[in-house]
Amino acid sequence: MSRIYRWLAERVPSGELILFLRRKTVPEHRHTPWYLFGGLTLFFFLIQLISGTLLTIYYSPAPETAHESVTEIVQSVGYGWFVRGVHVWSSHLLIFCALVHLTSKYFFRAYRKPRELTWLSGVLLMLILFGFAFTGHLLPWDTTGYFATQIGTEIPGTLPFVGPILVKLIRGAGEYVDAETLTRMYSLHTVILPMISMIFIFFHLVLSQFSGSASPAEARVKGQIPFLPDFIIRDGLAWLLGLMILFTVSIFFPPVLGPKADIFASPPPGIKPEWYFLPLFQVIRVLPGTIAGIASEVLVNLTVAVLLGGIICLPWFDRGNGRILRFIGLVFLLFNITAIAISYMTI
Amino acid sequence: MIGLITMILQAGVREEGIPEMGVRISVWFIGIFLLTVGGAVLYLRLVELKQKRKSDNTTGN
Repeated sequence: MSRIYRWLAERVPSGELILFLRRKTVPEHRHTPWYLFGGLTLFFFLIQLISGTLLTIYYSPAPETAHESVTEIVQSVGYGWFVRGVHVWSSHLLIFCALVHLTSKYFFRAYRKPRELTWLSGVLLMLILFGFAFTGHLLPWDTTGYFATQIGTEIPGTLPFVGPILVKLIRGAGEYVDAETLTRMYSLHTVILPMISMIFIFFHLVLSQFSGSASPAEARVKGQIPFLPDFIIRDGLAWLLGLMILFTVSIFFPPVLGPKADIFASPPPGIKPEWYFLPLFQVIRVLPGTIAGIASEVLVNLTVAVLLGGIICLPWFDRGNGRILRFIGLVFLLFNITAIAISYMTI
Repeated sequence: MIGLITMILQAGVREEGIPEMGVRISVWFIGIFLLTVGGAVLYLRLVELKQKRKSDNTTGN
């Protein structure tokens, strides 16, 4: 074993990296557990890559065969039901962990100098994850996925000037979600988005290693934990706990594949998007058709665009003691949790 | 509470191709057992490292 290690050490200059990780420390205070969500997000992303790659072996991206191929994966392929369950559930856990990670960084004000680029790459990664979720929803070609995508692709269409171009880009030439849309979603989900996300993850990891973990201003730092091996072991424990949760839900609550989509049928009642899109869906649902003569969907789209711009530019306009931003963050968080709860109770 | 009951009831419902509940419980038990053993090993190593760090600090002082 030591001979192999020596052989590798002579060829791969890993000593410098190990030395760097041994010197790197993580602040220890009562908010330290929040740091684990970054690692958990990466862990669930890796699980997505592995399970998704396995699913592509049997999946066929055409409207005539997509649903049948997923049925085959669940019913005939050995442990196919489990791999699909792991893929679906880890996507939920991935988005949950990414949202918790982003929210904790917001409240820690970890976006300030010198971490602006880490924040920026993190926000863009969050958007890419939403892109993954949206494009993956159509792939089984079941009724829920089909009509959720039909409704979802209509939303950017209300944006002035760029709206119709965006819809055409996502859907293809057709007026509705069709074979061309499925091919585009498949290509985005399995090739384009993974490639872009790999680049961003690399930059995000490198930047966060160099700038270190930010502590919230009010935290009483008790000391510093060495990143290697102490914090890595803590990360490992969190990953194991995450794996236990994933394993349990995938075995006991395997996702049910709905009936094959009939593109000529009208959308069945009760169609709703995944939980992370529910706040937006709920807002569009409760607003009247027009507000001050402007279509409410246009207003919602513009608000989302402004909000997103605000989140991206946060490092450059947070200049005070952060109380106002903390208040805004709390209100936004409560609003989202309430909207998700209301949606589950009423739809 | 209603949500929890619905989830438990849904766990019993299965599509064709998905093994019976008994098989799933067995697989789950083995998996969780192995993960717990792995977790315990990691936890013990963490405690060991913590104590070593503490004793190093004391010696340093």
